[in-house]
Amino acid sequence: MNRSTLLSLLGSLIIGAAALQAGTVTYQVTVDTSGFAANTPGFIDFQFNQASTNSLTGLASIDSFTSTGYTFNDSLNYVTSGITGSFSSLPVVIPNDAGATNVFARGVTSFGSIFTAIVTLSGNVVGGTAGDPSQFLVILEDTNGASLFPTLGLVGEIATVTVNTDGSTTPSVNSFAGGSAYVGAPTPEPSTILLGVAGLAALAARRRRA
Amino acid sequence: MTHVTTRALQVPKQHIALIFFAICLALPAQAQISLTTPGTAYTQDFNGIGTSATATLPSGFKIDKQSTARTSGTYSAAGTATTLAAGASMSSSSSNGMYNFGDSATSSDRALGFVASSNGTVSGNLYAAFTNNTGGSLSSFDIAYKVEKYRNGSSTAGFRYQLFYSTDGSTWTTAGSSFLTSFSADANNNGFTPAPASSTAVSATLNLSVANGSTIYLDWQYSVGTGSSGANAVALGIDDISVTPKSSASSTAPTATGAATSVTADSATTFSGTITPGANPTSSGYNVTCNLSSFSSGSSTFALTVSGTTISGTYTVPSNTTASTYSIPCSVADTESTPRTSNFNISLVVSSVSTPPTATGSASVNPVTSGNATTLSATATSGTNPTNNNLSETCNLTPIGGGSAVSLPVSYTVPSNTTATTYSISCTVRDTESTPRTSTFTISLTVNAPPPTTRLISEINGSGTTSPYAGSSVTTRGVVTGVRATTGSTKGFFIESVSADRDSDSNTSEGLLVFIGNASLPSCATVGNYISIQGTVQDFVPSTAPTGSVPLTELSSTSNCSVLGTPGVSSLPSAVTITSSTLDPSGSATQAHKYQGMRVAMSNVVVVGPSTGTVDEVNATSTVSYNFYVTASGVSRPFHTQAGIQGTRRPSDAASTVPTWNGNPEVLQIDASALTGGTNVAVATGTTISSISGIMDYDTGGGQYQIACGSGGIGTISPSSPTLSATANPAPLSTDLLVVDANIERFYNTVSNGGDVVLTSTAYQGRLSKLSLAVRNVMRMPDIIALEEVEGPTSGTSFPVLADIVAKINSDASANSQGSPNYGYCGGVTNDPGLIAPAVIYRQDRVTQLECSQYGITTTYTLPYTTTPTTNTLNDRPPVVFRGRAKASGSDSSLDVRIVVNHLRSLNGIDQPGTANGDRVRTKRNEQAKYLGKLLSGNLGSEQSTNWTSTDNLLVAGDMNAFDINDGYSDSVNCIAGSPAPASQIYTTQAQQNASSPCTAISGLSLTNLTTTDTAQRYSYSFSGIAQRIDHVLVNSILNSRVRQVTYTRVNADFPEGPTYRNDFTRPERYSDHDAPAVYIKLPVEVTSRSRVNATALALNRATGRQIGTITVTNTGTSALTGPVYVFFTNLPAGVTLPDLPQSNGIPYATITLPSGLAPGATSAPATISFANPTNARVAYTPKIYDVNF
Repeated sequence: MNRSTLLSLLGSLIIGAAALQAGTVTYQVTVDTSGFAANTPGFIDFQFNQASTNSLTGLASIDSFTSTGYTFNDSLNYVTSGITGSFSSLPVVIPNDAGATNVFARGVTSFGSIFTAIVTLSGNVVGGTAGDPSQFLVILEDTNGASLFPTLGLVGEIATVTVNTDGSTTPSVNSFAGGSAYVGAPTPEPSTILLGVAGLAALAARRRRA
Repeated sequence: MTHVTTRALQVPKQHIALIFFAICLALPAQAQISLTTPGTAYTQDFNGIGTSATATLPSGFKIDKQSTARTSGTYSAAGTATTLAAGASMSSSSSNGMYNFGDSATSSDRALGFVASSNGTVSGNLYAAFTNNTGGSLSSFDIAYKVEKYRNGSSTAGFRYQLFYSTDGSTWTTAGSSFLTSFSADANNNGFTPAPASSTAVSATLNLSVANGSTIYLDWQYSVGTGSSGANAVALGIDDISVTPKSSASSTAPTATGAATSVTADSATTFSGTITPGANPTSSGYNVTCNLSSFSSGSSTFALTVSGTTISGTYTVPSNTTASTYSIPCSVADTESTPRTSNFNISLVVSSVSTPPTATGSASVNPVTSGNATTLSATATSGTNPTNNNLSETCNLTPIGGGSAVSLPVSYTVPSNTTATTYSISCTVRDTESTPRTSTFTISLTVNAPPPTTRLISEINGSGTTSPYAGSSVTTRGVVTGVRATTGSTKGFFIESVSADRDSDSNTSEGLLVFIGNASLPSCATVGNYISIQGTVQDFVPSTAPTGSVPLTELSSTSNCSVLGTPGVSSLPSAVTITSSTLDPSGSATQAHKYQGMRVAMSNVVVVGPSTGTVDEVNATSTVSYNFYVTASGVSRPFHTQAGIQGTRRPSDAASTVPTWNGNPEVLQIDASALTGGTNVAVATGTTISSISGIMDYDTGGGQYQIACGSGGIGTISPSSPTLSATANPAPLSTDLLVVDANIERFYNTVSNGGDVVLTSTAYQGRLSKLSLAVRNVMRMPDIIALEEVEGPTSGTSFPVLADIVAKINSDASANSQGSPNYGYCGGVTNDPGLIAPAVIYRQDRVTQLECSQYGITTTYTLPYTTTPTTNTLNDRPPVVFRGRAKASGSDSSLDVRIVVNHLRSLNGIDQPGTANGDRVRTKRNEQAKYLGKLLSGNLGSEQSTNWTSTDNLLVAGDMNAFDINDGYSDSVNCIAGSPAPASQIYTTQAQQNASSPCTAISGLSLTNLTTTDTAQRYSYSFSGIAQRIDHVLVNSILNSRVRQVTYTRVNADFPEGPTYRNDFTRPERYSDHDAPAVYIKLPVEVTSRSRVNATALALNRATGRQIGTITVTNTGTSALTGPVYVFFTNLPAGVTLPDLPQSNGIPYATITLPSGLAPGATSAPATISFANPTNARVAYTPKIYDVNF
């Protein structure tokens, strides 16, 4: 076992244990964009979508959004119908069945160093077993709505939480240049924050060594 | 009369007038009968008295009865009416008295008579008074009458009638025994039915002088023969009295005199004469005859014509009559009852025959060539009676340009422009008699034309396709290079210029056909002879070819063939070498014309069309005939891919917009036995021949250039005998629906149905075997076979030949372990005179029949016309429609396919001039294609309402007898497909245009004409060495997406006729003359029920607007999937699309490849899907999953 493996194990231990509750599941999403060039504008795009109408219904609630070094232009927000709330009036609640895709994209005047939010998935979709999958996605976009990392995933997403056909959820992140993403259990107050930070640090260290 | 007068004297005088009037009223019954003409009979049958018992007697007759036997009363006292009536079945007790007898109460045949009794009526008298008003004395009377018996009488005394006469009506004298009619006793007194029972005629002459104006009375007295009792009397009547007065003056016969015109023998004399009538009586008519037996042809009773008292007649005195005066005995007879005759003679003077002079003539130079002189002269002989030797002769020379009365002898120069023929010149010889005698004679003179101008062969041919000297008489010369035929009606030979006679123009052929025809070949026609020959240059075009066709220039009506030298066979002109550069596929249709009639040679020849043959249909065999087709080494196989009318047969009135096909001039027909010593050979397509040598000829029947070969003309053939074998179709996949279209060429059985061919049992079984072999082993046991030319019924649903075909294939398949295709059939009736029809056979183990129907059976079309339109049957072989359902093994779904099988009007006669010929063929082809287009597009109205092209997997198959291109006369296949050539590109006549409109595109009809991707295999038929597509399979767009492969079953078109193939019933080749298009259709293999689609949640790419996801397929079944699998997204919401995916029938589908298949339980690699969803509608769809085919 080398040093890199030890760091990965450490990261996994730190972020892998998100609290799970039947019908509801909560994740902390933390995205580090500190490596972005200064004054990079764009969007932070949150989506909660079904595979088809065979998917079960649910809500994605985004709360406790905080950021460091970010400036926002809420007048640029792109919001599909059926979504309630805003970042100035949290939570933002995204139903997965208002449309084929359900988008809350917040206009960013300048990406900062980090943002984090608590995302709670709820409804029949969580724990349900009869439907097609649903998925919560986080995408960083340019001012045209194009993913800054278009080769990632389906549409350039950097982080996802998939609600599987058996009702379980699977968080996932994609590596991207200039930063990193974290999707995991909400950070404990307050000591666990350090653990979360430590986990991010460990992930970052592994990436640099890779 | 006396009695009446007496009574008149007893009345007062003042009543005399009244009495006289009463007497006058009675006069009709008392008036005497006036005899006015001696010899003219008075007759009386009593039929005018009616049937009354009290009938009034005719004028002049009276009647009474007397109570004593044989007693007469007086005429004056007698009554004028009968008292009784009877006739048939008289009673034995009938009343006595005066009877009006008749067979019945209503019979109009009456008689007068009596029945006596013992003492009532013992005598009865029927009186008649006759007054001589003839103007002379009468000496006798011929009296006739009948005594009729109406009842028997048993009186032993018998009964009789005795005629008496009297000059005063009261004193009677018996007329004698000639007027006694007696009846002896009968056995009874019975009557008769019918009556009278007997009628006794009495006729005798009563000699009695009666002065003019005097009266004589007759009394027919009825009475018993003896004794005084009239009992048991016979009932007797008097009937049919005739009294003819005879004059006492002497009778004289008619006399006549006559004359005849004098004649010479062999001429007609005219008889004339006058008759003096006979007297007492005066003759009323005559017959005049003469005895002409003195003349060889005369009758002894030669009748002359009499008109009144004038005699006339004509008689032609025989030519052999001796000159003399003949006294011809004649007689004249009148037409009295006893003709009176007298004789007289006619004198006829006959002179000897005078004959005219005669002559014979001749010409001193005969035949004479026009422009030269001949002397006409004659030898004359005097006429006879009299002889006269002063003779002269003249002739009418106008037929040969001279005067109408040219005296002989004469030296006459026949004008140079005189038509060459034999003339019969009319001449006359005459003498010097006052009326000259003449006769005619003829002089036969043959005028020959001067020898025609010598023209070199190259001059005759000219540099074009027609001769500048067509119709001209020429003399030409050349070396005999080949004799075309020595018997029959096509005899002829070829000549070619010697070196010194050749011109420098390479476009003028140096060879020429000398056409002899039925006549014998001239002796000069020996190969190697250098000859001179005269004849007429002819540009021959058969009547069946269009006006404007390229002709065959030949020398016909030949004469004066003379041998100029005998260089021999070894010194024939060198042959022109035909190479690939000579046979330019893109060259003109007549590029070989410049070699016509010349010796040619090829090396390394490639056969592009097999040997033709003569088929014996009854025995299902053939013999190789003389033709096969070649091109030069290095030239690609010719295909008919150019639209238009064949260039060598283009009608001169074709519009410039009608395209021209060059006829694939790279092909040469080989007539292996055209020249003496040639033999037919059997060669398949692809055979090579080391060399071919012969003479370039031109087949006017097909407009194709050919090499006529003779002995040694065909070099080494490789292979030496045909080894070509059928090429089996590629094996179909289990998921294929294999459809084949096969024209099986006049497939009949052994039963005569009128119009068909009756095969021997061996032949029929042989054909069944060959077809079975082809179906099973070459076609690869197709699921469906569209058949053409199978014998069909004219009505009904019995299809014995189809039944035999499927039974044979099924049994052979079973016997050869080829499964159980269990072929069934769908047949149609036929309107074809040869009873051939389209049909379908199909594997019942793989295809279910949904429909079997037929269209257009009674449809008619308007024949081309100039004045009056008429109609005729359109579809000789009405299209058969089969709809079947096929399902791949393991598939959730099946495929329904509608197949329309056609056999359209052939190309035969398509360019033959005439309303009833080419016009009719082209019109029929056009109308058939239009009808089919309407059918396929659902535009037949009540006959058919479904638009098949939009609703069905539609396949249209058949022998369309048309190319995939416009042939310039009709564009049938493209018309059917929905994309016909413009009318301006199709030749039509006015008669056609009157009857038929051009084919135009039908909205919604757009069929794809399938063929193989291998351009070298795009043919189903080989005609004149040109590979071509006339058997077609067309599909609509729905079905076209399922077509996996197209090929042609190679089993017929490239194989020669003869024993190797057609005659060998153990091999499939040449079961027909068509190859069979084969279409492999992908059947759907739906596996939705045993697989699953797994989709991920979507994500929106806000920059593109696309909603992106992935899918995978999991095999939930128990058997592996082959792949690729196709996921169809059906039932997508409105507005939701998958623009990046292909579609089938409007449904997008994703393709997931399975490099190693997909085992049960396994899941495929993902495939990305990208929705366009402008309204962001929730995405829903029903996936349908197919394996291999969808």
